Amino acid sequence: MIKKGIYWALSPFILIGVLWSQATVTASVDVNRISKNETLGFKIVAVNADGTPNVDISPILKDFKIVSGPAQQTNIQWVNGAMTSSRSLSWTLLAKKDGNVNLPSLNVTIGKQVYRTNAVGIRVEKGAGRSQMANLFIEAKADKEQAFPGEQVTVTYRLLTRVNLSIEDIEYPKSVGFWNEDLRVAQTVRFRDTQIQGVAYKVATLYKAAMFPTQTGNLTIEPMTVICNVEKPSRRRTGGAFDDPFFNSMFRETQRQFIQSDSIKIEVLPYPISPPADFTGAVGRFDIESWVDTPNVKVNEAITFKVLLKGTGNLNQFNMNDISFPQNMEVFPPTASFKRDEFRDELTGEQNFEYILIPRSTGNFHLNPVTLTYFDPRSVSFVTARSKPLQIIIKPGEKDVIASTKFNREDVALIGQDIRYIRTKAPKWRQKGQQSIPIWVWSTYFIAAALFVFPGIFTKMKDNRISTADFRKSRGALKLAIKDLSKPVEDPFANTAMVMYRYFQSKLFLSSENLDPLALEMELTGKIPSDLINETVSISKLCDAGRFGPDAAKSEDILQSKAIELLKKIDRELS
Amino acid sequence: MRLSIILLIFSSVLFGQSADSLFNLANRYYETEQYQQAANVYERLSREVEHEDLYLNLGNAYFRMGEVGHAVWAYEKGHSLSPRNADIDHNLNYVQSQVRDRIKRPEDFFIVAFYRAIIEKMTILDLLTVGGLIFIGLGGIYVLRINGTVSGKVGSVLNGALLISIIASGWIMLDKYWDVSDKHEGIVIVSTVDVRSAPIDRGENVVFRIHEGTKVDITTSQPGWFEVILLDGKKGWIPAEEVRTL
Repeated sequence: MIKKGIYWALSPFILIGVLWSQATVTASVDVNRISKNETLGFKIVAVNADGTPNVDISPILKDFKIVSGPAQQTNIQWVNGAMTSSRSLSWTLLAKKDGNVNLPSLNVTIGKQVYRTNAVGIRVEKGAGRSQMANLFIEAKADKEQAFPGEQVTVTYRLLTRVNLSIEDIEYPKSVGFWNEDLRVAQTVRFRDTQIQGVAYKVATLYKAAMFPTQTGNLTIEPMTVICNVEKPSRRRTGGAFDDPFFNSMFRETQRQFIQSDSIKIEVLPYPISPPADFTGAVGRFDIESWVDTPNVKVNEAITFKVLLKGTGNLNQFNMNDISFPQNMEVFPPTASFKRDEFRDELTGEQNFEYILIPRSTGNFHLNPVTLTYFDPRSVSFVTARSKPLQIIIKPGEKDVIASTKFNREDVALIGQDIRYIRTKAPKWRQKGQQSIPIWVWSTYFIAAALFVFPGIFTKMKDNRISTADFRKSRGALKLAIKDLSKPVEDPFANTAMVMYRYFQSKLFLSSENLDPLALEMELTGKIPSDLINETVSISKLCDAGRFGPDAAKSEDILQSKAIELLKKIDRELS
Repeated sequence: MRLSIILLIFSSVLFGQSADSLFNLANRYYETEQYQQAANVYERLSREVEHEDLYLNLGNAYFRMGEVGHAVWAYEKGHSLSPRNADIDHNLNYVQSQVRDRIKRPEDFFIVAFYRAIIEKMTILDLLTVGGLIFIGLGGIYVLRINGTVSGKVGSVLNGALLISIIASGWIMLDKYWDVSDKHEGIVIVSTVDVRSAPIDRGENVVFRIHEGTKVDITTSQPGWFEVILLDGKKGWIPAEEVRTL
């Protein structure tokens, strides 16, 4: 009983003891000899490890390519009460080169401890010899081994097989230094029967591409990799109810297999002759045609100028030479289209350019031929293709539209901003702190004040003048009378009478309109001496009689001066 | 008495000439890109006389030297003398666009904004002239009414309108006068100023930070310190030597 208790009490320590026993890490491969295109299983097993192993895989990437992995597996075994645990990591690798290759020793970290695995030697046999006899391989073939830059190299990848298979994935070749144009990409793989050295194979073209080198030197087209599921011969061959071709196909066992083609080496040579100045990289054989839709147009009507470039070569990879159009012809940028001939291995097609030209003046114009200088790899020389020159006749339009429509009015655009420049002319300085109000500001107030004040003064003056009008009139009466009498008149009698009566009216403030000698005498009596009155009356009587009176002729000349003398005397008496 | 007046005129003519020659000298410095010397001469000149063109040139010289604060100061000075000078306005706006602080005045009601624009764009002299012209108009109406050319009703309406505008212009003038006489503004002339909560230079009392060229209102001053308020209402104390008063 006690013994059993001790056992139970100790069991955790025993367990820990087992777990803590020395861990071992080993590396192994499933096969030591492989052909170059075959894959290799690589496994690292950590026994009695108390954690997940962590492997630094980078050293093996130099010679191998990881196809898949790592896959993890954990095993725990109890044998006679002793526990063995093993954790394993496994990869599928593909050798990058042939010969004797080492899988180097790797660092495996478990927890905090680092273990080193053993190195494993692998013999990779050269693929070519074996692959001809192999059941399954990819043949990579280029149509030439030497090329000039821009010359097409057609690369074909064919899958040859003696087993049934289905393709899972294709990794197309990548290549540096090439412009790649796919010619044929296998959507569905179609096999044909063929024979190689008497052996029947099924063959399918997987991929075909036109590769145009873009640089000189030795270039490599990387291999193509295909993952496929290969049918394995059935194990259940012997007897049984299902031993029948029909069922065989149903219970087919497949295996994933990776196959890789060889890489292709291409030597790209420089051009043997130095290219001419207008060479823009066209290689192949080309032809140029150009035409206009109509050779006769009117001013300001559009012409379509078409250029067709057709041929075989690196189409789309070079520029056309600039076309020089006549001046005073407005040119709109061309529209371009490209049509490829699908059914040829050499890249062939047509490139169309359409220019719209609008002539702005009349006359006969020549359109220069369109040229293209290309390198012909067959004759190893540079050739210039040119179209025929064209002539266009431009007639005057219906209305003469002003030719210079090239410039549109637009807003002045600000290019940059800066402060404005200094004033260079010396201004009228003001003394600092003595800002006085200028006279014209004051004057507005003066004028305004004046407008308020003056009307009052004006009215007062006017009233005053009206009240003293008669008085002023009486004072100025003699002056006015003398003035009127000094003037020579046609009828001195009537004039003298009128002037005299007006004088008396003003002087004596008489209101009556009509004066006669009698009324005058009455008014004057007592104001002036009687002799003056008599004289006045006699003159006025004389005037009334007029020029038809008895003494008219002799008194006519002196009448006015006489009247002046008299009025002077009377005025002296009256004032 | 007469002699002193003659002397005064004579000296002013003399001084006027020397001011012109100083101005031309400074302009020549400016043209030959000796901005420091140009600014010095303009500054000397600005102690004696004033004119908006002088401040425009001074501001340009400072701006070319990279002294944004002083440049803003000079343009603001010129602007206050001649608020509708397009060149000064342009340069002030341009230089202000290079000032780091973007202080936005709170949006005003449009009438207030209009009133503010009037005050901003007119000098006292302009307002005085406007008042005088309205006064003349009032006088003219008075005369026409006495004369009987303008009938009583039209006259009284016109009279009323002009009276109201005369009162308005008078009020604006007064407001502008108060504005000018009471307001103390300054421009920050050093690249960065710590604004403090009290006029004490201590590390922890920094409330915000303003940069060269920013305009501040000075509300209170103490020896060596100004209490400033920004357009958006932020308030604090800054050392007086870091601000140039307008």
